[in-house]
Amino acid sequence: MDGQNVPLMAGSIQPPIAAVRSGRTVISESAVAKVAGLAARTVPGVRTLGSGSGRSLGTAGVHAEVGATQTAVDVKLVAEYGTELQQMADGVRAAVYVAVENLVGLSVSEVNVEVTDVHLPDSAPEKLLGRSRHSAFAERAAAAYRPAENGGQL
Amino acid sequence: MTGGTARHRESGSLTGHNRISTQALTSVARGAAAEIFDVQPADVRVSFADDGGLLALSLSLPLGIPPLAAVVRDPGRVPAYGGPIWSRAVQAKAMILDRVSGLTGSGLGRVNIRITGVRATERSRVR
Repeated sequence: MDGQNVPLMAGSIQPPIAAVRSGRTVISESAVAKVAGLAARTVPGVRTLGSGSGRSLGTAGVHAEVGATQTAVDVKLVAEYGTELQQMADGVRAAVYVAVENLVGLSVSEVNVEVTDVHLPDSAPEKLLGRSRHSAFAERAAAAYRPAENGGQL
Repeated sequence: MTGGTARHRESGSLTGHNRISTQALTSVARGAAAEIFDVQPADVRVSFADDGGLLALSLSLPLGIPPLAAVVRDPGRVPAYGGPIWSRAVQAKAMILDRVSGLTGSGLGRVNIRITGVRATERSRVR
């Protein structure tokens, strides 16, 4: 097998590339998790990965377990209020399957999706500008407080 | 990526489970109640219990009502807000049940509503 086209001499040059079968390729869990996380984030209705609190970079909320040929992925995410959660979770699963199988090349054994929280409109104090006139919640809140504010400021 | 998604969906080979946490379920219930009763999501308190295998959802919240002085001047304000408090709560039960079970896919058996107060809010009479 080895000796057919390569002279077995000490210090000889390496065998032809086609014959090389030694060496391992290791794809780390964080690489798989990153690919899975990017795929999950593209699904409509996904707000952030992880359990909220505004972390959106890295592999927060995604855990991958990598074996020799297979990988299993767990995704935790916060959804946007108004999306159908089961449907969105199935979409996340499909996106992770496709991305990991096509980009990483490992076969996916399972993808578990956990919706840790749902983000309600205006429940996060991120847009204070103009009090978000488009939101029904904010509009009513503003209506309730306006008389007092006007009296005090104008 | 899209083509691949279709292929996978057709073959039905996707395994894994979906889990919706209690916190997520609570937020959905809070959002639905806030939407239907015209209050802030933060004002709604939510708890879950068992209803013979289904979920029983209990909500306590204050209700938005028109200012009483405005009602005295114009009794038409009450229907504009959806009618008396009692009938609004009765109607809302089915709406909240549909909304929450539609969004989360959970089997809801009943919705209990406890009105803990009223918030007089002025809002536009035209919709």
